[in-house]
Amino acid sequence: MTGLWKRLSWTGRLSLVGILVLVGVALAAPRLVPHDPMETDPLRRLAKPTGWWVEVPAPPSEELSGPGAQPTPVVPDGLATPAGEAPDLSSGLSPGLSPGLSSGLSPGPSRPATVWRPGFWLGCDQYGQDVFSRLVYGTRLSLGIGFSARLFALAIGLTVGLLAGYFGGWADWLLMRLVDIFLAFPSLLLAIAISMVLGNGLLTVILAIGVVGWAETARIVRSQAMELRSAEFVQAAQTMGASHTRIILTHILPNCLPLIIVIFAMGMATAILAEASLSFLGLGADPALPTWGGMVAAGKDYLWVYPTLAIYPGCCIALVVILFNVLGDELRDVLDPGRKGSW
Amino acid sequence: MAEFALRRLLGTVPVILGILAIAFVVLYLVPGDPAQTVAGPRASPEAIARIAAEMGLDRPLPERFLGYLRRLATGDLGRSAVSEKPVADSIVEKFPYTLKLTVMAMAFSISLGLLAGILGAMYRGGVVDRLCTVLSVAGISIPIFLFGLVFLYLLAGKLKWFPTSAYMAGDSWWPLVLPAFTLGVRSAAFLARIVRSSLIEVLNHDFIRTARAKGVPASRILFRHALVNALIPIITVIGLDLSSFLNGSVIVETIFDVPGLGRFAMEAILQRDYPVIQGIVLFSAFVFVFVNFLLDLVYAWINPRVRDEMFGKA
Repeated sequence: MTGLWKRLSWTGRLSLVGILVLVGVALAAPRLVPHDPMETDPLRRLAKPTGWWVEVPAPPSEELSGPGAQPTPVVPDGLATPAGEAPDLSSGLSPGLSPGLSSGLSPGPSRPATVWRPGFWLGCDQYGQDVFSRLVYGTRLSLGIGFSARLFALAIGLTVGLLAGYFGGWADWLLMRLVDIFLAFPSLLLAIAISMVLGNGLLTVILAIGVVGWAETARIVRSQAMELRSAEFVQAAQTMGASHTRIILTHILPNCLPLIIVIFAMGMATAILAEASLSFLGLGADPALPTWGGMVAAGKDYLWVYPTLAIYPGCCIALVVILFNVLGDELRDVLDPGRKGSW
Repeated sequence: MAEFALRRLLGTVPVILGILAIAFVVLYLVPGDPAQTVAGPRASPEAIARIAAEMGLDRPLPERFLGYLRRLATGDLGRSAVSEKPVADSIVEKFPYTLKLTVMAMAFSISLGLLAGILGAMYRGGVVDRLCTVLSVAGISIPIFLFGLVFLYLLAGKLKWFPTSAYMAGDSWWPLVLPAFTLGVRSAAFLARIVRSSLIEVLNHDFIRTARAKGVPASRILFRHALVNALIPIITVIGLDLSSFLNGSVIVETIFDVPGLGRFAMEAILQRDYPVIQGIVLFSAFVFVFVNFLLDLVYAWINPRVRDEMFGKA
C-alpha cells in the first residue's frame, strides 16, 4: 500500500486524500451536522444563509445555564429535537451576532429571552430544511449508494467476465450477447425501467445502477481473463491438473485485481453520477431523503430566485466525481501500465 | 465487405430479440393491472375483465409475447395510457427535436473534442495540454444537469444571450443551441482525452519519425499521417457517445423545455405512462443498435484488419 502511495503523482494523492476525507464526512455525518437534515419549518422557507450563530427565542421549558451562556451546538439525534426549539422567522433570518456580543445585550440574568443556536450557513430550502446539514448527509447517501451499486455490479460483472473469458466457446458467446444486450440500452433509460418495476426506494436505485454497470465490467474482465488463459503459468497449472475453480480463483483472479481496482474507482464516478441523475429525475430513493441529485431537482424550481439551492449540491456531485475520476486515471497508469491512456 | 455487413447484421438479431424480451418482461412486471388502469378506478370487475380480454391480457405469457412481436412488426407500439394517442405517432412527432439536438451536440462535441485533443497532443506536457486535461476531467465529471442549470442561469437568464426555453422552437435551430452545447460538453471532454492519447500513441510510431526525418511539415504529419491512424478509437467514442446523448437528452430537454423525446419520456415517467416509456426505451435501443451497426461498417471500411479481428476474436 505504501508502495502504491509512492507511485501516485500529487494529483492522485490529493484525490485519494480527498476521497478519504469525504468518507470520513459520510461516516461522521450525524456528528457534523448542526441541524437535523429532515427537520422542516415553514417559517424558514428559502431563508438566506445566516452567520455562524443565530439568536432564537428561548424555549419556555428549557433550563438555561445563565445569560450569554456559551451556545452548545445541537447535535440532532434523529427527530428528537423538541418542537419548541424551531427558531421563528425574524431571528432565523437575521444575521447572527457573535455570542460574545450577546452577553452584553442579554436582558435579565434570571431568564434570557433568547438562546443561541448554530446558524443556517448555506440557507434553507423550500421546506425550511438546513441546506448545509442536507449536503453533509448527502455525502453519506451518495457514497453509500455508489459503493453498494458498484459492489453489486462488480459481483455480477466479475463472475460473468471470468467465466466467459476463461472458458470461451459457447458460454463466452452467450454471455457476451447478454452483455451486448445490456450495453445496447441507453443506461439511464434502463435504470428508469428498473426503478419503474421495483418502485422507488434505496435498494431499487442500487439495483438499477448496478444492473447498468455490470456489463462494462464483464467485458473488461473478460478480455483480461482471455489474455491470462493463454499465459504460461496458467497452462502450467492446467498441465499439473489443477481444477478450473482453482485456476480461476488462485491464478486468474489475483492477476485481474489491479484491473478490478481501477474499474471500481472509475465505476464509483459513474455510479455516483447515475444516482444523481436518477434522483434529479425524481426516480431516486425517497425524495425526502437528502440526496444531492434530489436537492438539485428541488432547487431547480427555485433557480431564478435562489440559484445556490441547486448549484451547491450540484458542485458536491461534481467534486466527488472529479476525485474518483482523477484517482481512477492515476490508478490505471500506476497499476496497469500496459493500458496506459487507452479506453 | 458485403459478407462482413451481412454477418454483422445477423449478429444484431439476438441482441434485438433480447432487447424486446427485456422490454416485454419489464412491462409485464410493472406493478398495477394495465386493464384496471385503462378502465379507470371505478370500473366494475366485468368491465375490467372485458378490457383485459380485449388487450389479450388473459392469454399465456409466450402467446402474449408473440402477439407483442407481431404488433411491433407492424409499427404498433401501443397507445399512451394518458392521452390514448398511438405511441409511435408521438415518437415520430417528437423525435425530430431530439435528432436536431443530437446532431448539433455531436457537432459541438466533435469539433471541441478534436481541437482540444490535437492541441493536447501537439503541446504535450505544456500549459495548453494541462489546461485541456483539466477541462476534460471537469467535463467528464460534472453532471450534465449542473452544466445545464448553470448555463441556463448565467447565459440565458443573466446575460440573455439565449432563450430560456426551447418549447416554442418550431423549425428554428437557435433555441436548441444552448441545450445542444450542454449535451455536447461531456462527450467533447471524453473525445478530447481519447484523441489526445491515441494521437500520442500514433506519434510514437516509426513511420512518423521517418516522415519527420524526411522533412514533412508538422501540420502535414499531424493531419495526413497521425490523425488518420487515430481515427478508429475516435469513431468508437462517437458511437458510445450516442448512448450518452440519448441519456442526456432526458435531462437536457427537461431543463431547457425542449419538446423532444427525452422530455416526453420524462413526462411519461411522472405520469407512470408505461406504454410510452416502453416505446421510448425500445426506440432508443433500436437506434443505438442500428447506429452501432453502421459504425462497425465504417470501421471495417476504414481498416480492413478490423473485419478479420472481429470474427477472429468474437
